[in-house]
Amino acid sequence: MKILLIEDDCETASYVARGLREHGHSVDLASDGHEGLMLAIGDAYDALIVDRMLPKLDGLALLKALRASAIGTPVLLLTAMGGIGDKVQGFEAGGDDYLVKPFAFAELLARVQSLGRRPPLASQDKLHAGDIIMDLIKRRVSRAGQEIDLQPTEFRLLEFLLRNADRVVTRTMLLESVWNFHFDPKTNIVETHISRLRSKIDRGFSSERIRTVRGSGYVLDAR
Amino acid sequence: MYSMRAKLLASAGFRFLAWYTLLFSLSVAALALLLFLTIRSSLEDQARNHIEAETAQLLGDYRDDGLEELRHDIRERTQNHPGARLFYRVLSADGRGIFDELPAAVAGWQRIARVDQADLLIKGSPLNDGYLLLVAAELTPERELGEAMRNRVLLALALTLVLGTGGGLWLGRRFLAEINRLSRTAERIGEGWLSERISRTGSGDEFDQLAATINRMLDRIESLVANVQQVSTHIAHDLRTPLGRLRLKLEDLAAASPAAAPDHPVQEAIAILDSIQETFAALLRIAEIQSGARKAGFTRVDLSACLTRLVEDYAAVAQDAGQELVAEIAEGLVLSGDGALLVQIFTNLIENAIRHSGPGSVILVGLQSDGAQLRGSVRDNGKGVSAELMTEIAKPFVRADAARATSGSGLGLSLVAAIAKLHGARLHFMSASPGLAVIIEFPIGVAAASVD
Repeated sequence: MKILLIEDDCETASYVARGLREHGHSVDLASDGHEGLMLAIGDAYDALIVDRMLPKLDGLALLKALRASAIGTPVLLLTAMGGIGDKVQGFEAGGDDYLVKPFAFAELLARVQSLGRRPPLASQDKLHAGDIIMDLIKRRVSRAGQEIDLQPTEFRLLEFLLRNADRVVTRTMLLESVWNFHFDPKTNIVETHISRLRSKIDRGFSSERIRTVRGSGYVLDAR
Repeated sequence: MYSMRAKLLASAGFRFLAWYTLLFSLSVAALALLLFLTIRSSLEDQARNHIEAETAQLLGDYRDDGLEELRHDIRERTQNHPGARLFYRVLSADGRGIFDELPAAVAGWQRIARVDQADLLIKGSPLNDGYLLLVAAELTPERELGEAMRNRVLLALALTLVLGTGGGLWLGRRFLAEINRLSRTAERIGEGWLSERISRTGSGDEFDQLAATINRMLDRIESLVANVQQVSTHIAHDLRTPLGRLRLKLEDLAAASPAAAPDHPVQEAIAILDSIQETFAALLRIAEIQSGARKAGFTRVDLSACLTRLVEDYAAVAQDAGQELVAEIAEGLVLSGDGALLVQIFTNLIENAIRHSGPGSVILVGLQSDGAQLRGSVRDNGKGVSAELMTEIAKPFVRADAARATSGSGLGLSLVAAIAKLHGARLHFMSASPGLAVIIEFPIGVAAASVD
């Protein structure tokens, strides 16, 4: 992926850029809002990582300017402000995802990769991943033609994994999108439901479809 | 309508005027009474002088010419002025009398009250041989004056009362409208709309001046709150940026070291950093909630649906911990509030119960309504909490688990308390014998009223 990172803290910027490059992405850096906006408008990027507090032009203003010039590049906002209201503002300005500092690099990586190829959401009424088929209209799931009975939460969990097939999804991403929890729960609710889903999806089949990526999260293998 | 009337009658303006009217009426009545008494005594004096003069004349004639002349005099007087005349009576020693019938038979002054007639003022003067001369006057002007004054004063009092009450209602209504305007704005500001201001009428009256004063105060408060928010944003920024750098460096170190096992010191350092961050985030969140700013985003939340979903999701977690999670949730209970925060309250309480009640316990999540309030509860039959900890439990950094064997910042219940307070709810911790019961009572009347 071709990524533009707009971040004024050079140490954070260089760590993040190096990490992303190590994972095979190409990264351009901008250290203030003006430079960032110029680059974002001038070149075609797959994703933007924008710090919220930037010199010259702050992250939200940059984002609004970008959206006003009809540039729809997915944006991950990085911020030191973790309030509920701050998050809402970020989404209202046109941000696609929001990550609060300090973050684990794995979290950032997973979120950036998830931003990359977003499938058109509304038009699809069936999701596929190899022999797993999810019918979003009839709310049914089958693997290799065999119907699988899922609880509502397990259904939402699998849906999110299918939409992000072959990409790592982190525990926090699952909490935010499946449970709509914007806080860190103290029990292993994610692990519990993943393990139940796994036992239903993978039981009786030779290949395990939901893999745990240590220190990061989970991946649903498409094939 | 009824409550509006009750409010009007209880308004300061109306009460002020009611008291004023009462006081004014009393002084009118007192003045009328004083006037009446003064005039009456002067009328009585007149009558007395008249009787005195008449008696003196009659007695003079009697002394000169005896009883016969007296009779003659009296007869002459009664015949000359039959309309407005005095009354006379001469009594003999054995009690027989001539001339007018008078209800007295003693010497000296007497005032006789009569039913349906003017009072009589009588003077008795002793004559020779046990005879007695009585001269009397009817106090007719006094009676007429009394009647006239009574009617006029009653009319004046009635007018005063009507005007006073009407004025009171008008003034009360006006006061109430002004006060309502002020209190509506104050209410909105209390709900977190800090930029709200009281509209000025521009009339320069007391209410307008009060509005100007309050608005100036609000400007000051708003700028102070903005300052505080700016400062905490900066603190958050200035702490989080280096923390972020530190975390990335530690991760870098962990990736470089060959043994990236979970018990490696670098991994432990990362875990410590994460728990610092967690405490920090919880403190900031509590501050954000306590500022009341979230109230501006209140919507209708189907609490029944939220809780049912939570129980479904946590039933699996409880089951894995060897516990049972049971729902007793009435359907369709709706509340005005912040959906995400309400979910967080109950998640927090359910997770606490799962983490602290021990294996084999049953956890009951309830939601009922008694019309005036929604009563949410999470109770378990586990170890419970000691009585002395019960009141301490919601304070920041207080943990029931003194050994701190379980992880957590100790801020969870403070957050619960802050969210409950934001929703005007009352939070109770009590022993479920055995186990702990946490009860949250949300007022629905208030919520419904603020929505309309």
